[in-house]
This record gives sequence, C-alpha cells and structure tokens, in this order.
Amino acid sequence: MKKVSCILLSVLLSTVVMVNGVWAAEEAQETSHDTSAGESHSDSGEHPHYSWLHPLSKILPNEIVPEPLGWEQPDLIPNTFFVILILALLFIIATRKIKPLPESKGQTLLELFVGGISDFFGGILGEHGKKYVPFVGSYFIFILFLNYLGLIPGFQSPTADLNTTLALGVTAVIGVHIIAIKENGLIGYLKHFIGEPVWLGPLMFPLHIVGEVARAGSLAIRLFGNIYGEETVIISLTTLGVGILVASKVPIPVQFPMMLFGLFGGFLQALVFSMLTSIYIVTFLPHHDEEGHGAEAHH
Amino acid sequence: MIYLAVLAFGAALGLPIAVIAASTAQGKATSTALEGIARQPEAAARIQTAMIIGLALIESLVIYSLLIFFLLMGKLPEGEDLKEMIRADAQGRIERSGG
Repeated sequence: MKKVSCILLSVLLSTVVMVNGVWAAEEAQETSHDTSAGESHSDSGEHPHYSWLHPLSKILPNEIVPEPLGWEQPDLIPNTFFVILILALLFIIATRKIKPLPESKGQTLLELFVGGISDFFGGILGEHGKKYVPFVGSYFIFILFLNYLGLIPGFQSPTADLNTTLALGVTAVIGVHIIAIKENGLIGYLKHFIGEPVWLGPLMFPLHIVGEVARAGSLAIRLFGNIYGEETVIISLTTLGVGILVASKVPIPVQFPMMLFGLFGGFLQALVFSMLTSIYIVTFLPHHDEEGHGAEAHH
Repeated sequence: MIYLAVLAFGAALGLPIAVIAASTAQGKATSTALEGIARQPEAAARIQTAMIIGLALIESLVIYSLLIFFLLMGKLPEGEDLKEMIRADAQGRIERSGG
C-alpha cells in the first residue's frame, strides 16, 4: 500500500512538472512570436494567460463572471468559485455523518486541522475572543487554498491579483471594526481612536483612522506581492527551462524548487494574514487578563 | 534619454537597498530567537512561531519594494521602441554637432 502510494505520488509530481513545463513552453512560444512581430510589451503582454476554466467565463453572463479588462489573471472569478466549490464539497463530505467519537477517516483528519487552527488562533485571541476563531480560521483556510491553486497546472491563483487581495484585506478590517463595535459599544469604540491622553485626542483621531486604512492596504499588498512574485519567478524559471530544452534537448524542470517554495510561502502568507487579523481584534477587545503573549504588533 | 537612464538606475537600485536593510533585521531577529531557544529549550515552539511571524512582517517590506520594481520595469522601453529611440537620439546628436 505504501509502495503504491509512493509510486502514485511520484507519477503525479512528474505529471505536474511536465504539464507545467509544456504550458509555459506554449506561452513562451506565443510570447516570442509576438515580440518578433513587433510588439514591445513586457511580461503581461497582449495575450492574457487563460486557464482551463476560461470556457466558464465565456458561457456565464457578464453579471456573474465579468469580462477581464486588462487583468493579468483574466480567469480570477471562475478560479475563486472553483475553490469555493472544492472547499464546500470537502467539508460537506467530511461531516456527513458526524459523531462525537469520530469513526470515519475524513472526520478525524478534519478534526485534526480544525483543532489545530482553533488552538492556534484561540491562543492569540485569548479566552474573551475565542468566539471569533471561526472568523479568522475561515480566512486562513480560504487564503491557503487560493494560494495553492496557482501551483496546480491549468489554474491561476486568484490572490496573485490585487483585486482579490484588496477585497480580502478590506473585508478583514471592516470585520474587525464590526467586532469592535459589538464588543465595546459605539462610545467605547470611538474612545479607542482618541487614545490615552484625552487632550491629544484631536491629533490622534485622524492618525488612527489613517492607521486603519494602512492596515487594510498592507494586508492586501503583502499577500499580493508575495504570491505574484512567486508566480513571476516560476514563470521566468520555466522560460529558462524551456530555453535549456530548446538548446540542448535535455528537459530539466528548473522551476520545481520554486514551486516547493511556493508551498511554504503560500502557507506562511495565509498564516500571517489571519494572525494579523486576530491581533487587530485583540487590540480592540477589553484587556482584562495578562497572559503574557507578546505577539502584539502596532503598525 | 537621460530620464530613462536615471529611471533604470533607480529601478535597479531600490530593491537591493531594501534587501540589505531587511536581511540585517532578519539576521538580528533570528539570532535573538536562537539565543532564546538555547536559553530555554522548552519554549522552543512559541519562540519559533514568533520568529516566523517577525520574519514574514520584515519580508513584506521588501515585497513592497519589489512591487515598485515591477511597476518601474513596465515603464522602460524594450525591443523595437528602444532601437528607434537610440537611433533618433544618435541622429539628434549628429545634427546638433554637425550643423
């Protein structure tokens, strides 16, 4: 059983790498045709890189799936819907016959993941904030799957586009503020903006507002920059690999180590996003206890 | 022409400066984390988590600089456009010095 799964895994990995290389070879060929015909564009050229979900965006009406106007990842929305579908299917199948003492493998695995996430974010949020673990945990799982989708050949990471990450960042910050209003009431919420010495209030108020906007922007740009940068490096390395193939007829998957780094980086960025969101929630909760978790970061 | 030269110089110089500062900071953070782990091996997991978060936050500043780099790279001409510009510039110099 173990041998079969090892063989399957190696076959899958080699297929992934080969298909990725063929895909990039086609793109590189099209790019070279375009530049020889007199185009003078850099990477994101005239022809957008479509994914395998492109037929979906052609069939569905423009209200659900808008046509891309110069996006670099033109199949953003079908890919996001695909991730949502996969996540929904995964979780529905794993929790179909849920029991207090888990008997199925799916439920045990799911309990492992959800328990780990709950412990981790619960530790940051503290006793008072444990009820907000589903909020940040959902962000974590969603962004994790969005980041990993780009490593599968034929799909694109929705987070490699500023639209998605800006939406995620802005909704995270709005969610934090709604939680703050719920916890503190409107007066207590406004008191947070005024700060400690009340006579400095009129100075601190706009500073804090700008700080909140900067938090949303920094969350978005951090996620976008990391995922888009990884993807660009993978594309450049694949073009290099195709060049080696053309020059010496030896196929070397040069982009493979970068894809492994993409696994690590995607996980890390999802973790940092949700951890920063939970830290922002903690700064708005009333500080009862001194647990000594020094994970507060004020940007 | 000088504008483009300075633009290319600026685009190339921004990222390495960010990387120098970020690598210094990350080295200091990692060394302090390692000292903490060496002093108290039981707290290794918590210290490691905090170290990874700190490194990711420092890294994000370098990523902002990388974005500016991509932005500026898109503004530099290449290929046929560049040849035309060099030719026109050389022509202009010849005319100005000859006439």
